[in-house]
Amino acid sequence: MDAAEDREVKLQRASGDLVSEFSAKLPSLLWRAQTGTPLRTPRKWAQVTKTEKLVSLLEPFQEWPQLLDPHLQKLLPPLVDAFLAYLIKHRTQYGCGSAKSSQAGSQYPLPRAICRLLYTFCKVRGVKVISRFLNNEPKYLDSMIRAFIEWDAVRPPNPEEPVESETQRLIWEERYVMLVWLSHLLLAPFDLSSLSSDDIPVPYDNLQQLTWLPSETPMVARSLLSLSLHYIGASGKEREAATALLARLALRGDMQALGVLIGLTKWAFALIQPTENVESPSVYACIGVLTFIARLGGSGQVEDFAPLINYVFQQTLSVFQGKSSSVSATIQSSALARKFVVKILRNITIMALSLNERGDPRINDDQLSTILEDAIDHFLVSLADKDTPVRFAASKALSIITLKLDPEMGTEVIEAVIGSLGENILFEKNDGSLRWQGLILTLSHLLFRRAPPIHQLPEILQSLVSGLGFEQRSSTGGSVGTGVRDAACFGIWAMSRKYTTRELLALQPQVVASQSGQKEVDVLQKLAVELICAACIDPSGNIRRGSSAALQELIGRHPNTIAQGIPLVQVVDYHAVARRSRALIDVAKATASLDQVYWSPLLDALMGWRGIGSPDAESRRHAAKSIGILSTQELFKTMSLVLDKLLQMFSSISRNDVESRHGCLLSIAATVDAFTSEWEASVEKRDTPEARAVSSQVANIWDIFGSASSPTDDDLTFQTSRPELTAEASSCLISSLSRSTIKAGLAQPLEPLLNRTLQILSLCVSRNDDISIETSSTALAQLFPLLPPSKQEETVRTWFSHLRTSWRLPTGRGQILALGTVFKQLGAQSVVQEDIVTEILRYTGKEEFIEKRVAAVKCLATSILPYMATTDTVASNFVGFLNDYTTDRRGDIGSLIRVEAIQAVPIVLQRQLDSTSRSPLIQNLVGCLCRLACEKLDKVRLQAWLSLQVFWESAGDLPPIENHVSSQEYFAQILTLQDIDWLRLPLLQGLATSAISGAEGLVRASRSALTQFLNSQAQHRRQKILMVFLQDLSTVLGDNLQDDRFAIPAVEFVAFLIDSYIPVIPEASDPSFRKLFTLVQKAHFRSANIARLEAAVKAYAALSRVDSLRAGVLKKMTGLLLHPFPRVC
Amino acid sequence: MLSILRKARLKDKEMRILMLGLDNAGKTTIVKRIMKEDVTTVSPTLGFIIKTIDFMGYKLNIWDVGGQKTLRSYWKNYFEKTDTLVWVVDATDRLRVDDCRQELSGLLLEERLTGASLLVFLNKTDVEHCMSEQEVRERLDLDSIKTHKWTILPCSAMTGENLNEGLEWVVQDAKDRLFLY
Repeated sequence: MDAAEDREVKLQRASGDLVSEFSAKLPSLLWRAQTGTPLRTPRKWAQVTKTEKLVSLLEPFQEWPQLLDPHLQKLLPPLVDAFLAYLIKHRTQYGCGSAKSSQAGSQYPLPRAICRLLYTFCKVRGVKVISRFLNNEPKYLDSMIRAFIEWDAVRPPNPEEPVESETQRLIWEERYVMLVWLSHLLLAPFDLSSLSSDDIPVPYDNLQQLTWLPSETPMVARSLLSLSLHYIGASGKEREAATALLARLALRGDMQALGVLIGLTKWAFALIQPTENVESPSVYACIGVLTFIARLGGSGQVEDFAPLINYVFQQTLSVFQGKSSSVSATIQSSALARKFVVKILRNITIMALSLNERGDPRINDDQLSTILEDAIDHFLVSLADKDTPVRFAASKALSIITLKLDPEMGTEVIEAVIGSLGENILFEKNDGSLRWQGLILTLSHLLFRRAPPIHQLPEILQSLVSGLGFEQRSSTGGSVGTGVRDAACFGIWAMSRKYTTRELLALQPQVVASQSGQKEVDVLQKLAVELICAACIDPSGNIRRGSSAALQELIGRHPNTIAQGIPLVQVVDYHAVARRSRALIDVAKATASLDQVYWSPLLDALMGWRGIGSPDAESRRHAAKSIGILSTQELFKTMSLVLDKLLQMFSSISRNDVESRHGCLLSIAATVDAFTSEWEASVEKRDTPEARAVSSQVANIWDIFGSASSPTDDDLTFQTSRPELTAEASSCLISSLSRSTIKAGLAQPLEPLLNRTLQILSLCVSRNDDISIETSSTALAQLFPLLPPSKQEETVRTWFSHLRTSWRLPTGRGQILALGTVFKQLGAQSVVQEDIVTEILRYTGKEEFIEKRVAAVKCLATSILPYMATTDTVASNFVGFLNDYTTDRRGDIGSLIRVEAIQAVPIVLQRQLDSTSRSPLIQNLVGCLCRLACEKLDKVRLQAWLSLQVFWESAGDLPPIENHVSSQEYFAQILTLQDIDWLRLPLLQGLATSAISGAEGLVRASRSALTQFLNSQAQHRRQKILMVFLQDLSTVLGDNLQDDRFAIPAVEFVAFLIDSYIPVIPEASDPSFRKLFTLVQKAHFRSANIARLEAAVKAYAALSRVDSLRAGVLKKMTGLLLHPFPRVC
Repeated sequence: MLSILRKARLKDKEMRILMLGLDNAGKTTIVKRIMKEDVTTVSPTLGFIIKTIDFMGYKLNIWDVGGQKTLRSYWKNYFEKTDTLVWVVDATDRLRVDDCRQELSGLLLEERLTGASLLVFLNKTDVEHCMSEQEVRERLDLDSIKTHKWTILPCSAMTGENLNEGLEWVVQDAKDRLFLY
């Protein structure tokens, strides 16, 4: 949602660059490079790549065509000029004589390049705007027709010139643009006979269809007729241009004098009503013909068309209604064709109306009323059409015609529309929402044209307001009401625009159903309230934005009628409502705090289908949160109101409506939370009657769990009743209630109630989804202090036994976490606490499921360690967790445990900071951190670094820390730790994994950090460090000889170091190399692991460069040649 | 709905102006002067000219059609969706003033121009002994026009006098219409 806006802004910024690049590159595409000569010559060929590049510069403007407007004047004339220059100079050479025929594929004939560009302009900005820039001098008509015919002819392939066939004929963009251009040229105010010469060819043999064509018809007209008749049935875009050309030709005065208009109309209907033995026309031909007739009706003069009105009307209806069945089936199956039928009927009806008004004898009252009746009937039916464009066209047609009718009849039409809204179409299964959209859209269009009289506004407004809240779910569960609500927004927008403040204020306030509990306000205010609710709460982003736009119009056009109008517009901003959570929570809160008028309607809407009754859980959570925030509007007074409403609502929701119950319980919980924090914040208000009322209300909420509407065990266990939702909601509520009871010192619930809630939570915590477990274990932690100690212990023991029975089963994660969360509540019972620790440690063992182990380690790290008096026993376990490298089919699952364990280290370290000497345990832990901070897995490295950083900063004896953590610099920084003796070994161990087996980028970063570190040292020191490194690596290798994870990287790392630094290695280091050589041999002794062997070979290669070892190494390698693995030999 | 709004905003700011009048009334010169082009080399318009200018935030598409007698029967080809009709009168041409009145009254009967406003430019008022505004008003019988909103402005294409005032009237008229409802 937000992204779209960003794109627009970006486009706006970039538009200047796009345009200037376009104008800079255009000339070289069009003209030959001839500096100094005043007369320019157009190119014959244009490069495809250049053309396409220019096209791609224009395409981005499609999102925001206005940006192009100021530049059209500059961009289009060069294209037009070049085309005409080509027409004059190279017309006969189109598509042939390419200078370099080898490049035929990479070159367009110039007209094709120009037309590609012009077409793109048309696509972006609209053909009507672009055609204004085409040249209209009549002298070009002749050559344009000739060019079209010559270039479009299928030429026999010329053996001498092997030009690819596609360059031989016009492509569709060229045909489209040239036909558009031809019809533009036909605007010339001269008789065609004066522009015609006799040798203009007629391209197609299709004029015998027009038997009535008089012999004195100018050749130009014949040629154009032939052209457009040929392309009227085309499947491509050129059909549109051809119909426009044909219509313009037929409407010219000189052509009408020849009977072309009437002739062509009759021809058109004959084409789509074929006689028995003629093949019926294609769907494109039908669309083409209908488009042509619609255009005639759209731009023809009433007088010219008068004799045809009845004929066209009847013919259109009869074609559509299927006297000739196959054609009518074709037409009815095409949305485009149905749309044009609507347009034709609309235009004809309007003409009939205006003829009748003038008392023209050609249309008498009877004919008119038949036409009106049939047309309106057809439109009303089309309002429910399954294709949106048809509904749009029909609603627009109805509104335009209503505007022209005399007021009495207009009123009747509006009544008919409102009447159909009232029919029980909601119960129609298929087209309910479609018809509603059509009808509401009609009303909106009527308002947009200010057609309805004032006295009908009340009814219309009622329909609009109910349309704004319309929702229907399709059989698959998707929402289908969006279109209706959208149309209603448009209607309110149009009404605010077209009616004066006085007219609207004069309406009776009862017109719009009053929001409950509101003082009587005028209609405008009520509309504003409705729009605000839609803008904050509607599930569809488009509706929220549409409502926001309509609200802006309402407030802007009717100043000083809406409470807090201007601040309202700023708050309910077009951009602010784009994100649903922001609209639901922030915008709603800001709006409610502007004026009391908005609070109650927003609350009601939040409690409705758009809020906590939404089909998706996330929206319900947001809505519940929003209700909680809104409840604090007037502190305790409003809280009490909200709680009342919610409780009442909860008791009325059916048990099967799990989703609404979920939303409702969450809202109650949110409101209780709001109460608790308000109670804590305002000490001085605690003693008011309102506060006392709310606290007793809250205390009574516990009763929900003892009432008939309480969540049952079945609700929490039966998979069909979506137990996860009930679990989440009940846990949240119990958690909020317990907190509130303790914090505000409310009366404790009775024991049976407490036991019941405990039981509910026990069920929740045994579930397997994260949300249930998390919310219920939090709730348990809140509830525990309310329980008597004996009960607490009993509960814990129950969990122990449950956990033991589920040993090595996937369930039990919840209990582990719950044990953790209640740990700190059991401060007084250290025996139980110790038991908990022992019990949980049991589930960290390697035999248990990984999920449970992770949960157990997490629980130890975050919930238990911080609250333990002595940590040493547990801490020693953590060294084991930090070294967990368990792998299974999913890969390194031990990393999950390492990540959780890392969280615990700072807590342990914190305890020890004050003691001066470091215990071996601490050194061990920090060493592990250090290794993990260098290891290859990104997520582990990051967490380890964060923990290490804490220690590093607090310890005085480490080098100073610098503040960057990215790749190479990161490693460079962490390498400075090698000075610390007890950290060097783990550091190298970790680094080896990153430098050898990490991802590409990681390998590069760690290696270059290492070499840079070494190179920056002085010669002597470098030697020393190197030798220390090699010794340490020997130790690592020796310790982990059997562990692939460390042995292989260590061997390879040794190879890398020796290879890079052989010249620096001092003479007298023989013994350590000899030791390494032995270790490497041991590392692959009797191994069939190829990776090991390969690593060893690399190490041998490096070792062979040490003179004293060369002989031994070579011997070993010769031995390896006999190895059974081909890759190693 | 958002697309309808966007389209409506686009159209709000765009107008189609049809420039008509007898031949040699100075229509093309007026257009050229407005466009700040050279006005000394104007020849009779063969056919028509389309110009677009930005004026006070509005885009004015001016259709300037030749006024010779042979062309007048084609005027109706250009009526489509015209917002304002600009009728240019040659203030020095007393002889054809009847002709001028007949053409104008014929135009005002046209169904397709019913919604359009009428601006009468009385051109060439920089020439001495030309007709006064009052005289033209009477001889063209302007005061009897009830079907269209109209005004008359004496102007000069050569000096540029009152041309911008005329366009201002056109734009103001568009604004009025927009806010009237």
